[in-house]
Amino acid sequence: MTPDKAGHMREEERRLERLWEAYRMATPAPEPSANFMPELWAKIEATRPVSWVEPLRLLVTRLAPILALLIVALGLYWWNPRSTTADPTYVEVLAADLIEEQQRALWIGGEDSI
Amino acid sequence: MLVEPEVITQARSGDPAAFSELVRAYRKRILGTVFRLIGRQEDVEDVGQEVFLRLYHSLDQLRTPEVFEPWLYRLTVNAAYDYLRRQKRQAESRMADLSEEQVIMADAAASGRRALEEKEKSQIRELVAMLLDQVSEEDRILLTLKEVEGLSLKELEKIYQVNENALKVRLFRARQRVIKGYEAIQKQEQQVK
Repeated sequence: MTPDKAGHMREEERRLERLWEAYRMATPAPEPSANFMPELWAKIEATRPVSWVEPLRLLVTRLAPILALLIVALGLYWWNPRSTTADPTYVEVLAADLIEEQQRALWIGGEDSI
Repeated sequence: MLVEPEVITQARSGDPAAFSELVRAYRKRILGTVFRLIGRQEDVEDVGQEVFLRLYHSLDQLRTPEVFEPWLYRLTVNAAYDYLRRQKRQAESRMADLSEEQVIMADAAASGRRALEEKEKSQIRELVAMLLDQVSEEDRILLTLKEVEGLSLKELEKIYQVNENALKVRLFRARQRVIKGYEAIQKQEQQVK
């Protein structure tokens, strides 16, 4: 680069420096409007994940142990013989006696036949 | 930093009050940077909100509060870059907007000295916009951060996460292109006179 050209470039660079400085002055930081924060939060809310997913997840995680307990309790209830869980009714006692009597009669009859 | 590191930590863990405090502390600085990067006052607030929206959604990825400012600058640069690319695609409507902007400015500037000052500032902004149109959006942002925002090469290195020498080369080339553009404009002006 010739001295003339180098000098010219330096001059242009200085001119550009002055222009950047002027541009800095011509672009002061604007004051945010009163709506800046409300609008920002509205945009944040609008871009959040779909609102029903989170409550549903919470519901499932909280209900799961309760459901498991309920299933275990029901299983135990149905697995146990009915008679042990409640007092037999009059009809049930009568029926049981009748069956017992019939069995005894059959056994006596069987013994006679020997 | 404009806030205590604890505020950044709280905002990162999802505290809305801490996040609001963070925005209030940095919004004016970010709006100023956005204005210098995009050069259009009417869109500054929109792009500024975009920066903080991106911050909200990415804050959990921030490793430590110490790197918060370069992180925020990076988000600002990306939002401005996206805006400038969108504007390039909408070049025709942009021309229409510019004439509208001039009308608004003429109306807003009430009288005498203020009007003259505003006119001068507007001319400077237009001249810089013309010069920066000569380089890519990437170089426009890099030049503005270095020359107008006054960021050091070390700060730019943190923002761009590239080697300082690569930045120097890129800045040199961009500056040369702008100088050539400036010369061309000055020659045109002399010919008109």
